[in-house]
Amino acid sequence: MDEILILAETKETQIEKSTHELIQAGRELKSALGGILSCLLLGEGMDGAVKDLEQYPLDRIYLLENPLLKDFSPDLWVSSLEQAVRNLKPKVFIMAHSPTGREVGPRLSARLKSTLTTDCIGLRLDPEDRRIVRVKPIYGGNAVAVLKGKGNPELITLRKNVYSPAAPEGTKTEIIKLQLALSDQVVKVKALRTIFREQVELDKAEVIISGGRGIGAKEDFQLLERLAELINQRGIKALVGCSRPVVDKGWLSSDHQVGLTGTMVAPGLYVAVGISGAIQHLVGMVRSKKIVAINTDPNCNMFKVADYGVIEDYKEILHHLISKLEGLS
Amino acid sequence: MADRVYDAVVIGGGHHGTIIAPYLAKAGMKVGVFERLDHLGGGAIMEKDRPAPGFTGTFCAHFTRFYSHPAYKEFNLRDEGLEYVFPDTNEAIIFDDETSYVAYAAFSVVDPKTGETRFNEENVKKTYEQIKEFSKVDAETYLELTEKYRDRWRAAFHRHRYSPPTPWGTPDPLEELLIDPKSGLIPELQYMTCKQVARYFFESDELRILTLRGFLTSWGCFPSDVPGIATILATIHLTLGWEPAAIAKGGTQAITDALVSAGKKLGVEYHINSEVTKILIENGRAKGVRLADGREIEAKQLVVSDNASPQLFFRLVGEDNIEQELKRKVRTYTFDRSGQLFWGDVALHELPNYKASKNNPDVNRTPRTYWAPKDLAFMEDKYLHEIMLVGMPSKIFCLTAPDSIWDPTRAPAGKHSVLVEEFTCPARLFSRKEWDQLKEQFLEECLEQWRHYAPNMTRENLIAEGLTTPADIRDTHLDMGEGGWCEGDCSAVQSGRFRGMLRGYRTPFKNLYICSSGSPGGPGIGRGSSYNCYKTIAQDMGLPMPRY
Amino acid sequence: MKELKIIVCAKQIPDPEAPFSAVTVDSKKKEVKVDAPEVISPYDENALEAALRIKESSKAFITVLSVGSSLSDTVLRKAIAAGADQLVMVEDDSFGRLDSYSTAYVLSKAISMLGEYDLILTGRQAGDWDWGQVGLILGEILGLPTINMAAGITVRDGHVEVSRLVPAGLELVEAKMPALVTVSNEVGELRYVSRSKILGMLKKRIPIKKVSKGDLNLEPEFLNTMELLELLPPSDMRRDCVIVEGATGKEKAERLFEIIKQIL
Repeated sequence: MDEILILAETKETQIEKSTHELIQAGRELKSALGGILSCLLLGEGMDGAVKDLEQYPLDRIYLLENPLLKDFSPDLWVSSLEQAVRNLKPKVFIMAHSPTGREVGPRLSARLKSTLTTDCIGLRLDPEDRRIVRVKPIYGGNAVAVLKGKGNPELITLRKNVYSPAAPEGTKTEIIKLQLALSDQVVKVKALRTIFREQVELDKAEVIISGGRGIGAKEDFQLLERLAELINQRGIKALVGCSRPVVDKGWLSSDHQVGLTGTMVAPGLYVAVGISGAIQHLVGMVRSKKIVAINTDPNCNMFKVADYGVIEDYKEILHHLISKLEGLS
Repeated sequence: MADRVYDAVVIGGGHHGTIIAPYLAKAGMKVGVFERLDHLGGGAIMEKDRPAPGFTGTFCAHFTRFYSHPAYKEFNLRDEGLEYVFPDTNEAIIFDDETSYVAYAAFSVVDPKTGETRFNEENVKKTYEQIKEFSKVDAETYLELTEKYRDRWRAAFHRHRYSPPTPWGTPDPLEELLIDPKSGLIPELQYMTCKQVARYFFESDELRILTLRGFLTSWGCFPSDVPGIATILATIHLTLGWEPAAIAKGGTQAITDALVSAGKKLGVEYHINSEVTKILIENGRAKGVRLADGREIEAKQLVVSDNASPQLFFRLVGEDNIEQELKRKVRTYTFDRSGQLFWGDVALHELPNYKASKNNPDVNRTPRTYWAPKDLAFMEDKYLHEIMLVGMPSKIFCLTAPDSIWDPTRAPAGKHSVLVEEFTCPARLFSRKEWDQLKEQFLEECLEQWRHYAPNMTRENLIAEGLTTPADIRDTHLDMGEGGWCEGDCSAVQSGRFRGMLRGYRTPFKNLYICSSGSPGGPGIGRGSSYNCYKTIAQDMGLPMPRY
Repeated sequence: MKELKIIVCAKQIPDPEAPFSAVTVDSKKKEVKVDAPEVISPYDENALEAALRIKESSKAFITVLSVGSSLSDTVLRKAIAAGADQLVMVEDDSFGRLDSYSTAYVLSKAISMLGEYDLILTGRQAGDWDWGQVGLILGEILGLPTINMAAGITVRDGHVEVSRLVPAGLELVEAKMPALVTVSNEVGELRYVSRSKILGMLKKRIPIKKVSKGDLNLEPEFLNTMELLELLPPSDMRRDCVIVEGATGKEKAERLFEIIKQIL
């Protein structure tokens, strides 16, 4: 019987939203392919996570609990996943295109000699040969490739925020504990310490005020920060984002970056300030419900994807918006 | 069923689209102009608050003698707000040894309303004296050529500019000059490179350098290119400064505004943000156009395209709809020498004060001021190669234009803006990031070299810069291929009657015409392609000829 | 101190910052045509910059290695101009559309041919197909300690220390060399090479080693092209943009304020 296996991810033992999206993708595939849909969960102290997963339409949950897997150690994870997949022999193994998926996916693909297609936005079954057809944007989103892969299992990482999260629905889920020989002998890269930085979780914002090269200087992001702060004071979660050149110039840290290699976002309102709109950026924000662009160049790409455009020096516009909001409070 | 119906549909509201529209409307047609961008005028616009708040930046052309274009009189553009100022100085070049040469206009404007000129003996004498400083022989040549220009070339040049090309085999006004042994122009000129032309006319390094730089200004022809007779005459004209300098108050935007205002009075409807994606062809006729948003516009009588031929035929008509012979012609239409520039205004606290001004104070107040090393060998042999290899020459031959002296709308009171121009290579040779880096380096080196000629050109004197590179232009203007301003090379094979099409302004489709800078006439708002295109249309359809 | 041998893997791609209008998708030929110059893929430039920074503090010899079809030494010699010591180009017509594993396999063979090395650096992903796989697979094939997503790299006593991007911030990790590190843009832009330096280079002989497919003893079973069924243009992202008009900036801001109020 064909098995579709997805890799669950947790953050502080809570299941990630992206995992719920994978369940949805797996479910859709299962309706064409038949067989069973399972989920693989690695870590330690995963009771809460298992409870969460049990509410979803999964046939099986494979649980691999081990103190060594408490934190994400790439070498140990790859080794565990390799063993698990070799034992379970799923037909398809789907991971999120997350930092974890991006790292373990290719390494797993090398070990299993099976083609991985990364950052997919769609999957379907070819009923003829029962192989998986993978849809992946390339050239920063300027084209879409439709591909197949060789080898087993079929390996995929799936872009976040493309599939909507599966709805909880009571099905009978079997929980299977995996026993694997795990040893820290496989660890070749030693983790020394983590420098925690407060991370901006752009994908959770309702409003994103995003700045580009056109902002001109690091200090001027204060205007964007201030605007976001004032919106926050009105109970709407607002954050500051940016395009890639801003990170390259060191004006903001990379967790603020929106776009293909940053965070893909879809807030209620996206305000693009001084962003000309390289396609790599546009694909990361174009699904926002409303888009406002502020730019002095009327021909820039951003105006082509925006709902509202203001052709003006951004400083003047932001100053007025800020004083209007300050006046309200 | 079409969404809208016009007699004439004009594709593109660039400067030739805005010129031809009122002519067609005056002939009684209902005219619709469809422009992809959010403004009319193409390159003939000014940008507010560029390079700094309070300044007005020149987007493209700066030196326009539109007062001598027939449309100026036809549509009373002066009454529509287009006003020119005519400085007495014209062209100047300053060399790195503090010598200089200033050309004073041989023809002066006597009536700013009509642009009427008169031959100015006094200015001729002044220019003669200037040249005599470095070459007696070239000074005599100046007198000889000026006389020829006054008596023969000038009228021929004007006729050539404002009439459609004659049929192949029938000499056009400039070819007539080549045939006439008394004209002082020999047929071989048609086949000479710019380097040879400069050597043919002049003996001094000074005038040869200015001539070679002049072939670049407006035409983008490098020393090894073959310019053809029309470009040769226009360039010698620049070197010797025959016609008066002319600065439109409010810059080229004033030309576009005046033309559009005249057009609106005649009922022309302008649609911006309206990209045409297809010309609808049926039975060899253009029936109308399709817009990017899917709307279809019917053209009852004709479609005129203000596009270069590659875009017109390969994108809008479609390669499948054209014959092999035309395809060959279109695919050889290239953009490699079409005026790729580092270009834009620099905003300054004070105007450059040239060391050379101690000999002639006028070099500080000349509408087109070049500064360049007196290194002819470099210009002849290395300049082009360095540009093609690394994007900029190690020795800059810079054109500057301190327009704010004559037009106070360009800068806030007490401040100045100076236009800067130096040549570079086609956009495709570098990546976007490399162009951004190149621009930074150009600005730095330009200021450094400029300081050698004018010590006050320090960083502190610079308020802001508004330079653009070919990558900036290519990204927004589809017809300015490779980011060059000229909409295609202007060397002999793409000049005069040979530019663009096989049949002047007519296409193989009965009622589809081309009126752009990519047709005979060439680039520049004062040049005649749209005017001549209208004449061709008028002839084909029995419409009234222009009054002027 | 022993000279460090660093290999930077660099892919040649069309300029990823080319405008929309420069990109056309030919669905019939299954090709993306980009009317823009070829460049070194941006993350690979970051990898080269990381190598150059190591070279600033330790003795190092940097080899830039590229695999592909129709490679151009004029594109890749920029790496030499920036400070790399050697260029190795592995070129074959059949390398145009290798899948990630095969590309990594060819790289691994070329690296073995080059002899000893301490550190291999690659970009986190290429700027055209965005697979993000070759570096990590190469680490697996060569059996090396592999570190993904570096934001900073230092080398000491036969070890490489990397601060790498993780969801919580930065993780400081260490591995014994030889090792492989994939590099993200946080390490910084490739240094600017001045025009005069490039001009000067034109007169010099550039150390370029060309390697052909035959030199590498490649096993055909590991040379696979990707199985591309279709290539499609992207879905249209355009919206009808309403330009907020106003005589002054203030007026525009006031209208924008009302619009934003409505949206929220």
